[in-house]
Amino acid sequence: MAIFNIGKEFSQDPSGRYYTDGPGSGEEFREDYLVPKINQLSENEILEIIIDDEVEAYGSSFISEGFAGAVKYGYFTADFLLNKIKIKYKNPDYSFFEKRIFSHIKKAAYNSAVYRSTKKNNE
Amino acid sequence: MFIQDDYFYAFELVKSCDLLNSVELQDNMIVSITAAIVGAFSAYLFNFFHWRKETKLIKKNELLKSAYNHILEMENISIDYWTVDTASANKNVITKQEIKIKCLIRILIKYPRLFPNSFDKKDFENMVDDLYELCTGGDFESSKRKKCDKTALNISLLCAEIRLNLTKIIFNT
Repeated sequence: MAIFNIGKEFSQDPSGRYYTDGPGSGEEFREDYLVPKINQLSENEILEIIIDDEVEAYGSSFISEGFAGAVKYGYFTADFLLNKIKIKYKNPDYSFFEKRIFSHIKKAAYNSAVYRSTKKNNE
Repeated sequence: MFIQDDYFYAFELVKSCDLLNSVELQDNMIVSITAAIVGAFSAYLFNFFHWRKETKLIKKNELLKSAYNHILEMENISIDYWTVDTASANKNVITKQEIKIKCLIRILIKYPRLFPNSFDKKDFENMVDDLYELCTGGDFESSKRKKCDKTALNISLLCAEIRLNLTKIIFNT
């Protein structure tokens, strides 16, 4: 089982939607962390994502872009993604964010948009 | 004269003692004392449960009022946030509003665990879910966020509905 600690390995203040919004955006999370880490997993392996370590809160825009974006841009189907990740937290408040993450993933339409990186547009 | 008075007093005293010794009086006294103890204990129990219930009610109302105020605060900050473009606003003000909105979400999601079991927690949770999506969805925390009066209106409507529900509960308890 692979473990990914958002607060320690990605950002203590995950915020915003696109690369252009600054470091710690949902797009950066998806493109540079979530998708590569899931692609590296073996067939029966699961990615455990720790969401409450040094992170105070997540906006819906971040969750939508970071998690649901992986389905929307056709990287994974919703079922595949839901089976490959496990959200971990110690603080019971974070069950709210877990539910929002799963809700966004379930609602996302698979491969319904073409991804254009805002990082490339900026360069 | 004195001897007569003393004699009378002594006679009355002996009579009283006789009365005291009588079984009937003893029974009456036991009944009276028992009744007094039971009465006092009942009054104590009534007071105890009455004030316990009263304190519980006061605490419950304080909690609902606190939730009401946090919803009101969320409404005011979110409306200010969603009625101005990020690009045209003071960056510090926008950052403070974003921090405050996320902080209020953290507070609001705690309430269902604090509410008493008689309260419809699911309804409140669903409304906070919707409020979260409205307040922090779209281009929240994005440098390109445009003002959106429709989002502000929907936030205001939802907050008003939540506050109305909380008020109903406060007045029904």
